[in-house]
Amino acid sequence: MTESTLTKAPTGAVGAKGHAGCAGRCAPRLAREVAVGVGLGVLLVFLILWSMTIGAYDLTVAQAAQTILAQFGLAEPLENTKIETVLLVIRLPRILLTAIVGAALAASGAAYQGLFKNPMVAPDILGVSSGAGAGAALAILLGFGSAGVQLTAFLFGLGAVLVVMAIARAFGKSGNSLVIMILAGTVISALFSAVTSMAKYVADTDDKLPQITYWLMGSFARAGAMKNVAIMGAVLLVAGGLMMAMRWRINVMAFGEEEARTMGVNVKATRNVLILCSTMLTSVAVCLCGTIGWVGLIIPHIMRLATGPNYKSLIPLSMLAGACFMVVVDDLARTLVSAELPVGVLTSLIGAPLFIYMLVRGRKEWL
Amino acid sequence: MAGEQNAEHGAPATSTPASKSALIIEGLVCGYGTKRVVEGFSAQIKTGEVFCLLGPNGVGKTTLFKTILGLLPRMGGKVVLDGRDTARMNPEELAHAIAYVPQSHVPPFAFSVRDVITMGAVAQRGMFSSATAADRELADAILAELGVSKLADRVYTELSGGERQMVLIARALAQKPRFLMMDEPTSALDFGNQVRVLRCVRHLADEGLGVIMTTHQPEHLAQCRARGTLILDGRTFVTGDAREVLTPENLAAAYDVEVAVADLPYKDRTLLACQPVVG
Repeated sequence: MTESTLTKAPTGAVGAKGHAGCAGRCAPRLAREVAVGVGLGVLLVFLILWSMTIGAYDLTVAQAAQTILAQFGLAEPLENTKIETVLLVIRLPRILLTAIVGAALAASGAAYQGLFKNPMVAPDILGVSSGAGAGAALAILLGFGSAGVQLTAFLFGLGAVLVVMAIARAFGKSGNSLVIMILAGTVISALFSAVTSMAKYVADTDDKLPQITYWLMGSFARAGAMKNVAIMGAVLLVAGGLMMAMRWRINVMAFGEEEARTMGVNVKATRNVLILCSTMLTSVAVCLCGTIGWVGLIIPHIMRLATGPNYKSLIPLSMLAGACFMVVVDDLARTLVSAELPVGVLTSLIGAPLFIYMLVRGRKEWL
Repeated sequence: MAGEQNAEHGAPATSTPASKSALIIEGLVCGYGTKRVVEGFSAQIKTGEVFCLLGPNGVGKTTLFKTILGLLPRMGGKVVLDGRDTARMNPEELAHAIAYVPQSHVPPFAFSVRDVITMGAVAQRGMFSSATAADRELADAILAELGVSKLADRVYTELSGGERQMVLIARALAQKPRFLMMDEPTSALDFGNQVRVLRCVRHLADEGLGVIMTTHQPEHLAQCRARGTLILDGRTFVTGDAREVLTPENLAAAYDVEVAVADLPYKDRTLLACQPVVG
């Protein structure tokens, strides 16, 4: 038996053949990932320009492109300053914010799905959205201004996740802390939903109640200012950047904490940093634009079907695809009917059927 | 003996350090909370040998196994690797020394086999790094060494149980460890796949790795030319080679059934057979 084992054993030649073979086999897959990435990047630029032409004031893509290039001194500015105002003050900030929020939500969702070893997980699994919602509802009830509402929403979102983490830390054992975390997230979400309902119940039905209700539906209409773009952009740069840097480790986390640990990963530190990044991305997005569901759930799925589950490509591609998706959905929200639709409602209307379709098409992805 | 074979063959690209190393376990106490499941386990395991942990269900094999791996906190005793207490090693250092081969399972995402194996190299890379081309070449070289190169481009979740086990072994080898800890590597495998995995285990030991594996089949001790410990209960252990451990008396004491142990002549050699007596 030993003889036959040893004859099967490797020689340098076999190993070398393996190396040579890889160059041929690895390339197509990498090329596919790069191609999809470049395609999505080009699509995103086009979508942003095209979205700038949509609205009550009819414009062309060329006008939009020229106006933006003029900002960098790369083209002559348009003579009509009214067009410039519409594009740069009204439309561009909103579209940029939409794209950044889409990227943030999709990246958070992708990271959480790996971290919790579950493709059904969304970025608000730890209660960040319902916490932010309750914070906003209370702030509106107390008559805070829009900045106060945003800050309260952000702090409540962050607080909800911290409470969940504290519960998991206090009661979870090494083997089941993830399960405890998800259970605690469900419980805290329910608790904050009750707070929101209570706030709605006691709110003035003419003034405060509609305000709370519209806030919870999610919209980019009230958030489209360059200041918000800068805040959200900075968060994406820092938290999203950290997530990008650590993305390969999420692969290992998807095999479970015990295995990740025996492979040399500092599981607790990795998990906490990723949860912190996701929470920052989601809570800032929610506090600026309200709750926008489904993006964080379906975009990573679509990208897994397109280029595979390796987080090395999944995180950046999900960011690009999330940005594209969000921009398109917001365009629909702006144009489908004469009055604007809440974008959170549209993402659900589009996301739910899309998810069912993917369940049927891509079963083997998670079964 | 194993060391000599290793020297003769020369170490392949994926092999382990040539120097001998030893894992010394002294008076290990393990359990959960305040419950002491296993108490006073001692063993010395060297690179180049296979060491089996045998014992009835619920006796604490898995608890002991996980405590040696550092996944459960130990309640007493020592695990010393080359003079260093493993409790003082950080996860990365431990991953370079001891790799874990779990029972084959299915992750929620359809990673490619090459991606799965490349993950084994995570400990060799910094916190913010990604797999390199060299890691992917290592993955292909390890698959070639294990004789399963054809799996490289397959999807891990679509493999059979035997193939998945080989990929998990490959992933562990990508950690470049000195010891492998395998949790029932042949459970749920058919005869052919069992033999392929056991041959692989013996081959890796001959190449200079130390292999510690839990198993429910006493014959594995003889088949892998291994030493091992039969856990009779959490306080009583019998340690030695196949002939010393696999006596009808020891097996009856451990499993509470009669077990026939006999020499089975096969061609020009003798196999050791263990058969529980059913009726």
